[in-house]
Amino acid sequence: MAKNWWKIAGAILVIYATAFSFLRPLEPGIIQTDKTELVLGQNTFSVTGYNSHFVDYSSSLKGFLRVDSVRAIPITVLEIKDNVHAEFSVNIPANLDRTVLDLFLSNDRTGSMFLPSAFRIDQSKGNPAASAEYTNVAFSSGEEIPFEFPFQLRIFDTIRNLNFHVPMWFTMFVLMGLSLWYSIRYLNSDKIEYDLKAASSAKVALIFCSLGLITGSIWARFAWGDWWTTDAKLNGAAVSFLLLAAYFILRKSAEDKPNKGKIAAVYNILSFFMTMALIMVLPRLTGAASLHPGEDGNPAFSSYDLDSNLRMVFYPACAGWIITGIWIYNLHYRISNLKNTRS
Amino acid sequence: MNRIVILILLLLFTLHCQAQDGALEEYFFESGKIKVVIAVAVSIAIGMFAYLFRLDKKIKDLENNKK
Repeated sequence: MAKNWWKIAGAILVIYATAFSFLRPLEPGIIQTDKTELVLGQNTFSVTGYNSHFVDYSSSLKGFLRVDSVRAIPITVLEIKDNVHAEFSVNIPANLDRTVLDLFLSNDRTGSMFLPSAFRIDQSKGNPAASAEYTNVAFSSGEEIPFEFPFQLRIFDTIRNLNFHVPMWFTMFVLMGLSLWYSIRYLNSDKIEYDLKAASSAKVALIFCSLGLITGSIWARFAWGDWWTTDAKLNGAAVSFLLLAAYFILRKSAEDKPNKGKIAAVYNILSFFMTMALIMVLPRLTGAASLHPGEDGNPAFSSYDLDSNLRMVFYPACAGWIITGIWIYNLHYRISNLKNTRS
Repeated sequence: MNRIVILILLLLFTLHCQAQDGALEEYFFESGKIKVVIAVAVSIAIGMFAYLFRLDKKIKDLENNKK
């Protein structure tokens, strides 16, 4: 039992991260409005919120359309249907010098909720009001709720996927590093034990790589609208999957050659650096705008990294999955070692 | 084992082809897209269990060799 403490730690970390990935609430926000275009004069529109507590805090619900940094057009609450649905009306003045307005809502619980570029104003339609009325832009502060994940447009709840998708890749990197280490040691010492260790960790890395590809593909479908985009990061990841798979084809094809382990080890060292270049370096050099976070010369997750609530689940998830990956590698190695001594 | 994996992949592919994009979107986009997170977590669990089955088979092979 004392020797197994790290396996128990890995299991606890993975269970903690999985549970809290689902349990922690998101910050309040606005998902969408039923209209994207407003005309001059009187307009009504309905808003779909997220964790927005429209009913619970109905007395303090207010909002405005932001024109620029100081001017705003006030909106009035028409009807609150439930906690996430409400109807509003707004009076759009003539001679507005902006065509795109941002929507802000707030109440005492949520603070400011924000939908950027919510409405486009069609200046040629509608009956403009007699006089333009503006208020000041004022952000309200809500209650401080601990442990909320950030709310991001279009991503919404899928931000929780960060705790599942990214640890798969981190685990793959660690296992590939392990494989590189044992390949180098095998070339130095010629011990068959190191060859088996390198092959086992590469195999488990391949499993985590395919899980990373599958989870990424599902996430991409519902955040970007397609299963696969021709992005430098995504294609680099797919090629590195093929590079890893080629390592096993090479091992299999050189089965009866006396130095098959050496060929495979040399290829493995090469493929490790190719993978690093394809996933970590090339996507940042292409310069093309990428949908995947962490491109354009930024380290990955810079936009999420600031959020300490997400980090409190994300780091344990990474640590837990890396430990679990090493455990799986260990099992795999022991089995292949048994097989090797038997035959 | 490989045959089963290929069968599942092909089935998923046909499902993807048949599913009207609208219906798929409607199902997964419900409120905050929480079902996407469940799909991702479930796919990891499926992957892990598929690996467990393979491990099971390898151990069984070893046991059979022993006899």
